[in-house]
Amino acid sequence: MSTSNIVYKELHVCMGLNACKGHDRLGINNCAGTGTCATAAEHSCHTLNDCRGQGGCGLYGDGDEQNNPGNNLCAWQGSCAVPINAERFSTEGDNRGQSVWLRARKVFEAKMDAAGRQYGPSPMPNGPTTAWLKTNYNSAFVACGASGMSGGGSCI
Amino acid sequence: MEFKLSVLDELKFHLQIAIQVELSTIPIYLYTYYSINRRPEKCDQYGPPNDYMIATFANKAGGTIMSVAIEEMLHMSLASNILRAVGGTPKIYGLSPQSFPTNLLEHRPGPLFDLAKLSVYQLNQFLLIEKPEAKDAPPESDNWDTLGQFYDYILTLVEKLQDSDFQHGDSYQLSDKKGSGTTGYYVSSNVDTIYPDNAVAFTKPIEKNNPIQPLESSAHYSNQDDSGNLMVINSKASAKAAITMIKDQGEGYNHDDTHKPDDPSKKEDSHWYKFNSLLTQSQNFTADEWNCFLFQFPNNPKRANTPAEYVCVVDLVNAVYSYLLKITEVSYTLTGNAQYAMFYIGMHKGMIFILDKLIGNMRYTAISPDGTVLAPTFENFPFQTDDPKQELLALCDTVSARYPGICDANIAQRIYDLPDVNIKYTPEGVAIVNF
Repeated sequence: MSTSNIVYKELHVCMGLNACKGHDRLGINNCAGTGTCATAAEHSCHTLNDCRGQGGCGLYGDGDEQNNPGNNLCAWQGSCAVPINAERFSTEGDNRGQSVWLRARKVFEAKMDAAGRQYGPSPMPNGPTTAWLKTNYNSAFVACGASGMSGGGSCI
Repeated sequence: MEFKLSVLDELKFHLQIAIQVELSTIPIYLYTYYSINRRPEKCDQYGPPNDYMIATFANKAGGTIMSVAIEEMLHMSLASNILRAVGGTPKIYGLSPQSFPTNLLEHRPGPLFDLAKLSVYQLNQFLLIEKPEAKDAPPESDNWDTLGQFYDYILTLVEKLQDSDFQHGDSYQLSDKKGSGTTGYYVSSNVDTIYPDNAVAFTKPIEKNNPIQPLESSAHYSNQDDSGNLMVINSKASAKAAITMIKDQGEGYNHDDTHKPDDPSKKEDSHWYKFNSLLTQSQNFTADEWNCFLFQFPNNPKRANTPAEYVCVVDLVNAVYSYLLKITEVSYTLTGNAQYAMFYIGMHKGMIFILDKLIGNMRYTAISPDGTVLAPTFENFPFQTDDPKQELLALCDTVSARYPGICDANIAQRIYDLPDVNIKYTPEGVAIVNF
């Protein structure tokens, strides 16, 4: 998908995590929470996010970080790669062994509820799979780590 | 006239030795770790089920060794915390072994430990490093046989001191929660310490309604978060707890004769047991099967023996390694957010995205007709100026220009982003960490 002429209105880390209409990667979604993909800069791992709220989660980082995908306080405090592939599970903290994308969606929904905002369903109820990301986002998409347990390949 | 150290000074002396012993194990373990291809494709030639058995062993060996290496970093940091608590300043930069093979500092003469690829011999060497002490073994200040006996001697020194002796530097220590950030310095598990119980999990389709499966249910966690943490030392009790944790993670909980568990919860295996388990499984494979998942790392490579055209790569990797040791050492002179920026950002970026990627890339370069590949030498890099980051950037430019497949633009940017260890201070004396 070509996104080179789009000025992103909001930076978020994955599918289904946009706060408003027209805030997804293509700028065409109808409603909050229904966007197709991340607008935050794609990055492969821990501490590489540009700013607040732009870190993914799940493969490196402590329990607090891994419990707050897309909700980090500052640049370089994100736990892991953006976008968040659906196969990824947390390796530490209360969410250990559970889906990172579902945790990100839960954090997103809590923030929207607190703000009194409505939101729609994600295009994919468990987030985008690696296969979907490679086809629709970036054919070279890879998550991090050498073990392959990210479900997104290995980055060394 | 006989010169006798005070108990406190003797403790500081031995803690510095402990720091260097722990530091010297890190390159030994990392070198072997990077000799392993954890997702080997060449093993497919052996067909099922042998290919899965080999691939499972390769991934387990990698996850296990990384899980131990991470805890050796924890041990070095804990010894440094105790030294800081009693008023000392940890010295780390430039104190990694200058060449291999090497003995461990103050260890009895005899064993020499190599930088070597994974093998039965190397696993036996790992078992020597982590050798459990006998029940009646005496504490040993030097010429020690087991690391447990050396730490027992440190415990005897701690016992002779008062709580007030351990209250000289809480804020300078590295601990689990630092700075205004909510994140911790030490995490026991990550994607590199876990491995699949069976590599066949990689071949199964993901479950449509639960895409984290089948990988998640296959995941084995080598380390557990109840096993140890980066604790602040401010009393005799906390110093003894830290030393006991170091001992037990290595040689096993001392109330269990199997040396398997590292604490009463029995959730995590000791280093010794982990390596013994790998050794047992390693006997199952032929030489050809070993080679299908190993990079052909040489034994004890040295910069001096590196082909001239690749010396710049070895220098860059050594410089990054040394810079990370510098970051660690400097972090013990900082407090609060300045320390957080230096250590958290510097070490995480440096370890995971610079050193890991450079070594991961360089090992695909054959340097001799027999298939030997370019491997890290883990030598101390002698920075020549008071601005080591500029030296690092210059080396990075050289390697990027000659070998963009080893140091690409992403890695170069991450090196640029590292905090500057050349600390500047405000007129009020507050340290400023730039990155």
